[in-house]
Amino acid sequence: MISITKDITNFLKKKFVMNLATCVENKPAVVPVVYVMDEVYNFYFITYRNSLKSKNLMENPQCSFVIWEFLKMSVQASGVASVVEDEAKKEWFVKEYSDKSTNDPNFWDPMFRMKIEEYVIFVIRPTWMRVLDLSHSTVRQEKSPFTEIRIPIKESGLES
Amino acid sequence: MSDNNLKSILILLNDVDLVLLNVMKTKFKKENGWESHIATSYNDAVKAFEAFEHIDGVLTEIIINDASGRTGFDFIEEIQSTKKGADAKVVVFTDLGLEEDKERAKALGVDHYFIKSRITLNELSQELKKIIQ
Repeated sequence: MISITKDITNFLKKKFVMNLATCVENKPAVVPVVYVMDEVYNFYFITYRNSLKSKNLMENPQCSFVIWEFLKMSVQASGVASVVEDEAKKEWFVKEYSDKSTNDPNFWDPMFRMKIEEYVIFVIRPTWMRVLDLSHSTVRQEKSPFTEIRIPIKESGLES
Repeated sequence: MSDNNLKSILILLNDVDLVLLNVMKTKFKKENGWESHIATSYNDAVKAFEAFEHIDGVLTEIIINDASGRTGFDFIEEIQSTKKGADAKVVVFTDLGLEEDKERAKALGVDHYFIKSRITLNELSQELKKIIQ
């Protein structure tokens, strides 16, 4: 059984890639991005200002994402994205991002393979979040296997 | 700037991408245990070099930011004229792939010459580990 406060937090801190979905003019787009989560469950990522996801979020900040691992859990969320302008927060993000994106020595962010452009850092504040425990193999169980997380998430931990 | 047990390297690149440079620095620290200092101009590199008590390796680009037009070759010559620099491994990591550049590096006693477009950062990290440790 997943512990809401501990297991999900540890899972989200350990994982570093989310699949992020944006949508403009009824055209959805999904991309993997390296994310960093802060203590109050805001999710940050970096991209080029002219990337499709960046342009989409500038036009429509509503987005969804999933962070999952086979046989562990799937965290699904929707939220609102905005550009991070605070310099101290940007500096914090770059440090955390550098740490996370180098945890696996075989990982290399595809962003660096592209020609350098102006960066932009986004923060996603979740408005809805649920967790699916993937450690069980039940069939048609009576109770929903999803656990919905109340938003806003308190600083002291996730609340179910 | 360094203790005796920790490898110290100086990286001189003309890259203004501070995100990429931060990732490089973190990667070298985690994978190779190096304390690296990154300089993005000739003068900064000289200042950083002087601040090191001991330096194990220098990774430098050839085309670097310098108002006087000095290059990575000039930097290598400058540090090699010192005892501290003469003891350090010197590696070129550059966009330039001409034979004459490689020959010049060889004549200066450079330990290895890597062309950026032909090596991944993962490979660079592993190769540097072999050269410097």
